[in-house]
Amino acid sequence: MAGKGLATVLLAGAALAAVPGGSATAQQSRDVQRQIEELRQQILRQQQTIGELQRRLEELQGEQTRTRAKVEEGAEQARRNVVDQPLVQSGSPRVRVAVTGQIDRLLNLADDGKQTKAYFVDNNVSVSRLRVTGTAELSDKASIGTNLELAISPNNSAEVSQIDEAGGQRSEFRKTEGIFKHTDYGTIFFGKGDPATKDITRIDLSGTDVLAYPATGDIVGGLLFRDNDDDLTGTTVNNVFTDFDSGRQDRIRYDTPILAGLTGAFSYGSDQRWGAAVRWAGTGHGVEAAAGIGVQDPSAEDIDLVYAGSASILHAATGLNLTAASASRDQDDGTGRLYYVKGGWQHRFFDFGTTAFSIDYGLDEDTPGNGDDGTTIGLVALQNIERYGTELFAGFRLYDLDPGGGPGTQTIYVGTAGTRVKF
Amino acid sequence: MRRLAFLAGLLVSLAACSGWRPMEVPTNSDMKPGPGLFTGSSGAFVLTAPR
Repeated sequence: MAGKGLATVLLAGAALAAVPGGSATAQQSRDVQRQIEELRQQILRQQQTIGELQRRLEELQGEQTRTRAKVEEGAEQARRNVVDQPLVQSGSPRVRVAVTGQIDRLLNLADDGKQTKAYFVDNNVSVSRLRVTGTAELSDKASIGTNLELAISPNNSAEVSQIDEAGGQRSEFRKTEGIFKHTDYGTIFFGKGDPATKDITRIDLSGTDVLAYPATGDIVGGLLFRDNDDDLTGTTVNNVFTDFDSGRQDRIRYDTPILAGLTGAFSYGSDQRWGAAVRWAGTGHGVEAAAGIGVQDPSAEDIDLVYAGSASILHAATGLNLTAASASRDQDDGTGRLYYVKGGWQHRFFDFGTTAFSIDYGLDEDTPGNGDDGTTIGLVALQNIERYGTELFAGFRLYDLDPGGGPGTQTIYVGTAGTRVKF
Repeated sequence: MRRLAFLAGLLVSLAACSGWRPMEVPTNSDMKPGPGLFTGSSGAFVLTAPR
């Protein structure tokens, strides 16, 4: 519009310039110049207005960007509030409650010399369970915790036998304890839980201990041996193939702080039972290694002290591993002894998890009575599905009992398939 | 008992050797840490106080 007006004025000026004349012409020329000046001023004002409008537009665009960012941030916060926050929250700061658990089930196909049967059991090696732990951090170094662990183990393998295939419902509070921990001074456990020597023969890096460990009888512990006349005896697999492990106790236990991978533990519990143990674990020189030894007084009739220990080593590069355990029980009638060795191999055939194999041999002497010897050999193959906390496994094991004074018994052969799923 | 003391000494000596980094002692009694089927990478349903 301004350009068109300017052109008109210029044309008018040119026309006037073409007209000859005196003062009238000069007057007209001044008028034209004045009009031109007015138009120039008008154009400048319009340019200023356009500039202001552009700045305003930019400001509005900036406000829109900021508003969008705020809206998106608000939406994200709302999403976090709804989705990420737990449904149940503690009112206390620095408190953490965790719920965990697992199922561990087996299908055992067992031949006791007379008959072959399938047994569906819960694996007594590592029973199905539910656990609730709570931890309150008092400081960076100190905490107080609680541990409630309930075994939910229908048809437990230690209780299922040829005459009771429905077995028992082993539902017990494995752990009910308070835990007072300080990184500089150690940990005190108070209540029902693991005594100092718990699992001292079961330190194992093979990855197959869910089906093969020194208490070799656990996967079919309730089965009864048959004598050579095919009659059932009163001796179960668990009576013979044991590692003299101390069960969970109502106790107070103290664990020292870990120093160079080394830690000591002492416990004293109900019925004057006590135990002491030292454990160590480390990695270096291309291997992982762990070991432990302990002594305990089970306060049981006819039994004095139990000494036990185990060690395991895993070569990281090849996956080859070796585990050994031994235990000795001073008893009035002979000396119960365990010798156990296991060789294994771990390899990652699949992206989703490690595969582990093992072969093990166990010899129990003077269990359950003086002169009773048990021999067992087992094979295990296990596949981890690590992302989903799942293990699939299968194995084979034989149990041979040589009773010291009684009639001969028949060997029990067991094929096993199972799974442990941590949820 | 003397054999036990010897083995304990062996463990202490092993721990004192250089070139070893401490590691957590594996136990059979406890559930292994790590992912769970439903609990994901933490392996536990965790309830915490609001931060």
